[in-house]
Amino acid sequence: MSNVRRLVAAALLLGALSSPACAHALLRKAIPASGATLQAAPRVVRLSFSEGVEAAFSTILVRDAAGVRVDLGAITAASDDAKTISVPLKPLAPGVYTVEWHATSVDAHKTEGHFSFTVAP
Amino acid sequence: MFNGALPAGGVELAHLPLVLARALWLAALLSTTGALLFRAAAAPSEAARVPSVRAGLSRLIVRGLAAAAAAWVAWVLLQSAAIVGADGLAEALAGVGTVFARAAFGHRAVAQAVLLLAAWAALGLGDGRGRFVPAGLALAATAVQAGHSHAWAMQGGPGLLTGAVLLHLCAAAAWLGGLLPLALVVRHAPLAAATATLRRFSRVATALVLLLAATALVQAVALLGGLGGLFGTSYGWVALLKALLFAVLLGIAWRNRMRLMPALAARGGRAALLRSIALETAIGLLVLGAAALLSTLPPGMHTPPVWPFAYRPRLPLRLSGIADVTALALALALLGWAAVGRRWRLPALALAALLAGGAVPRLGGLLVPATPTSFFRSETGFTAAAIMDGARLFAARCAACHGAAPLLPARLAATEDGDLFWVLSSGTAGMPGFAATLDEDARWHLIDFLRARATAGALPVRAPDIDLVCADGAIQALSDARGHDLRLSLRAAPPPPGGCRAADPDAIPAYALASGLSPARLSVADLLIDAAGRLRAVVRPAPETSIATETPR
Repeated sequence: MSNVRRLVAAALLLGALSSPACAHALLRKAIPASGATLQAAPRVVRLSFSEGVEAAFSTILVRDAAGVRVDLGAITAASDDAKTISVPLKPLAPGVYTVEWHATSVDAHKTEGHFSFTVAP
Repeated sequence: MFNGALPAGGVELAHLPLVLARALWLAALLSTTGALLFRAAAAPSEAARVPSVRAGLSRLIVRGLAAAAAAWVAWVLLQSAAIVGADGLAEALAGVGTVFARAAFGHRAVAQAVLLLAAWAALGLGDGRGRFVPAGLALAATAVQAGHSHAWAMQGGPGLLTGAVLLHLCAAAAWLGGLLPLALVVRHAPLAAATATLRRFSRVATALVLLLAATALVQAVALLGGLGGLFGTSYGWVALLKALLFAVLLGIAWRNRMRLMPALAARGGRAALLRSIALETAIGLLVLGAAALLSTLPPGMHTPPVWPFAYRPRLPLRLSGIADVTALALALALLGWAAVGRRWRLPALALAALLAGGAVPRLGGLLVPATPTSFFRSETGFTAAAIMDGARLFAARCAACHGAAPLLPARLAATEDGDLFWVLSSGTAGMPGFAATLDEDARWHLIDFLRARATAGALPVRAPDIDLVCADGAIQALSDARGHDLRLSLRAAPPPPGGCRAADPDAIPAYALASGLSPARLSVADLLIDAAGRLRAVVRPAPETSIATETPR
């Protein structure tokens, strides 16, 4: 009986495990960090990946709580680090912001993800 | 033995055309490069002067280049479509231009096409050294293939790993690509000339095979992600399959050299060797297919591995364990000797029984029960924020039961993070699983909290990672300072001379939890963090640097 229960649990859990992080360019570090609460409004969102990324084929969309884009659109690669891209932001008012990113690594594989951060009043 | 788990990072059917196109491109590129190298290196030999060998080689090379051109078009089209996210052929064609202009993949693919075109143009260059020109150009195109690898993407440029990939590709081209030209020689050349070429090829191939194995090992260590990645990811299983096919190739090559080559003069000798080389070529193609599949799968090290067995080796291996395994291997070798040897059979059998009798009962200790997530690693970085989030979750979700029945610290310390994650996710006899009610981050935060709380009371302890303000502007978090000692203040004051101050609201409670010291004491002290990121000591604050306070009244 306990074996059956374990197997069912395993099957359920593996279903849940199969979705995340099947990725090539994994997000290693985000500034602002996922879930961070910032005292001052950031002027850029900077993402660092596990592999080099193609800035021309990657997007970082930053939206406020109402879903309005607050990024300036132009993705730039860091001059000294092929694994890091960033996007400049409009001046941010206090509130919750969502970052949705799509990255193409230089070995030509695509990954995506999203997270949010908060600018404190 | 198996726990029913499937490996992580499964193969996507939608990628199959791309994998196939890449495999065909790789096969055409390597075999053309190998044929050109063979033609250049064999030019002075008697076999290469046989008219039908010469004509056959030329045909092989021209057809190889044509196949490479066709496969290149298919590969570039499918890969570009994948990069720009194109839906139909029209969008894919439009995307190719953008990819050529702006993606590293496009630049490299164009460079390879130019190099192969140049090799084609240089095919007619004389009989002597000139033959090395197209061979060199094709070898350069093969070398550029390393730029399409995970290795290059991970290292962001040249490095040991990319170098290993480059050598691996070139060695594979020279070996596998030389097989069809070798078959031409076996078929058409006189016996003495064919034997001389076979001997020479065999010597070179031995060196190439060693190079292939060594460079494969470098890649395995860097990309597989250890034992977990080997057995717990699709990448690992495809790598295992590739290694197995390589072993079969070695077996065939060995048989060619030791059995079929000496019997070449016998009746049917040539036909037997030709059949064997054809089989070797076919298995070589399967190896390239596995290589193309690997290059589209996420490397094992980047995938949380799902362990498929009910047990795992106890790591790190203890000395007595190594002795037991060695004794068992020795016993098996002696058993083999007893089966095929002519002398000392009885003593060998007795010694084997003795060694096995000593080692076998202890082998159970080499394995420990495993869970599918045994090889998962926490990605939280043990931050103060994660620990304190775990503390809040524990108070809300766990304390009701575990307040009364505390977790055993010794058992906790002996359990891997991955196994704790499994227990938290799927539950145990007395506890429900939280997979449905707490997300993965929350479960990892709980583990960070349990780890931090368990160490309290005895320094040194693992220092929770926090955001910092430092005299040295390059350091923005404690994890940035790994590798050198650090003096750290948790006060909201200027950082101590040459040190850092915490800029993290969770710093004081997290350090109080991990060290067992009171928040009041921590908030007035300086902390010494060592190069390995451990909190070693809590000391009196460094004297103020302000000169005003030093002025005598």
